[in-house]
Amino acid sequence: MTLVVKDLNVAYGDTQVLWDINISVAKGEVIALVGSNGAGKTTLLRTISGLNRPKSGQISINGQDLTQATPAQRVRLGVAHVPEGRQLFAGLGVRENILIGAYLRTAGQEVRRDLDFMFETFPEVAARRNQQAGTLSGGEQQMVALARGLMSRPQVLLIDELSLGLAPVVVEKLFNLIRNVQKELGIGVLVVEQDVEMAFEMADRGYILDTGMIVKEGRGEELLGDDAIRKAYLGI
Amino acid sequence: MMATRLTFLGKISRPLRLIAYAALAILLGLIPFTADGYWVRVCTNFFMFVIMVEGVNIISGYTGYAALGNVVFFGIGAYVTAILMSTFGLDFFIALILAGIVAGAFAFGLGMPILRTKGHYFVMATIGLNELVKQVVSNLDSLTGGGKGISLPIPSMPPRINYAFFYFVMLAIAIICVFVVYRLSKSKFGYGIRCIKANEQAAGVMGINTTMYKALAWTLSAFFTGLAGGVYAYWQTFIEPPVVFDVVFAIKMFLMLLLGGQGTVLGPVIGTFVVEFLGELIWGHAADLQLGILGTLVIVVVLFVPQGLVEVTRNKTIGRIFSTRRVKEPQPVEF
Repeated sequence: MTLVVKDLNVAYGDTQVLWDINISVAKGEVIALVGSNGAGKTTLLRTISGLNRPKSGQISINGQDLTQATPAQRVRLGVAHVPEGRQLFAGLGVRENILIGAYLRTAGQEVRRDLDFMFETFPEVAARRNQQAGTLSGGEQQMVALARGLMSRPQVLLIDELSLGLAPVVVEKLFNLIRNVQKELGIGVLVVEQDVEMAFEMADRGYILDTGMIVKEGRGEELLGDDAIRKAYLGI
Repeated sequence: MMATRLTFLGKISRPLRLIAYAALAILLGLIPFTADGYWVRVCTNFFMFVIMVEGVNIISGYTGYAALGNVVFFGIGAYVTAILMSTFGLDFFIALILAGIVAGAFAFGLGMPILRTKGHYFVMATIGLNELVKQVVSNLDSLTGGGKGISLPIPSMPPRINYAFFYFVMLAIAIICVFVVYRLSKSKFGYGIRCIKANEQAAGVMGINTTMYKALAWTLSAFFTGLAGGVYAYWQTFIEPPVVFDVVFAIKMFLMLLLGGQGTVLGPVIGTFVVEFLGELIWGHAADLQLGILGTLVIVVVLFVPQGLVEVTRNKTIGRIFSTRRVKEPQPVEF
């Protein structure tokens, strides 16, 4: 198992938002994490990448404990985060934005090769490599964010709200791209997604998060017809 | 990206440019021996503000943390130099370097907690820091002389040489400072702090050690500001807390920074030039109107050239003098 989260509890002040979370992402696996607004999906991703501190529990990657590590150390150990709303560096160019993902890497030759690979994978982005990131469309920006995340050569890529503000066609295309890249690079992906149907179709496994607790896990197709989804989203 | 690079006299051919640089160097070298003592002082003051504004530029313009209370490092630099020279009898240059180091170390140590705050909280924290240090210095009579101030050994040089000495020391530090900022803007570290300014959290998850980078940027900023304070102390030979920890100083620094253009290498130089020399000219002719005219200028700049006067140099006609050469495909960072 590449990424393992064990008995994780997270609180903002006195308000606990995640309760005894146990999830895992293996090499080469795409995992979908779904749940309604406020279920704690983003908090979970932020805790994995070190932006939030857990109250208790353990996060490890390839058996190495990350719980006390800083965000920068986690990047070095193989965690990459594609944050909600993409969070590009608006004033910088597209190419610069993608290169930031490789900030900690020192082998110039390899970084340049990876950059070329990103441009091959995301040709729309390649055509706009010299523009300011802020001038791109939503889908293109999400591609830049994905490429930026991949540039650190992660073991696990965390994607928060892939579909935020994007047309369904674009989301499907992004999902297909992610599947291809992920297979080629052999990395694990943990994706938070609102489009439940698409998420479970594309993912190998999935988790349903409801008010801070994992209420169901299983293979994608199995979860699609499950009552737990309706419960988690509609509360009925 | 078709990036623009600001180069002084960039459109002129290389040999002519070198001649222009040489002429500028000779001009700067001649000023203290030909100009009136008053103008030598004005120039020295100009260089001093260039150092301080470039210092603020590093932490505010590049890193995005508006350190309004940065003048605290000026005061610390001034007091460290004063104490080391008058109480411990150290040589000026040794005292000066130590002053810069103490100011830098102070910024590093306090930066770790204070740089956790953002926006106006950070601004207030730096002003609070300045007031705090000012009070401590005012009350540590045995070390600092307290509210009475402290005198430095008077340099045993004839007045004209004395003026020239401080002119050249300030000029040298200003040149080093601008050069360091220039190198910083091209470096991987500079890339990192620009990312922090653009989006700190995203910079963090990209693997940039934001806490350390911010603290280091402030350390560098404080080091130069401390040096300026040190030279100022020996130049004036007497300092007291209200003068070297003056918040009005801090506001003037920001005025110059915004006027010239923050986050650019030459913006602070241009902004300082305009405020210092225009200020002197107006003061000479219409003292009453000085602040009014400067204030109007700031409003005009903020409204029409929010990126600062550096933007004006990118204008076609003016660009012939200060030209922006279009450079293809910049390599922001060498991996």
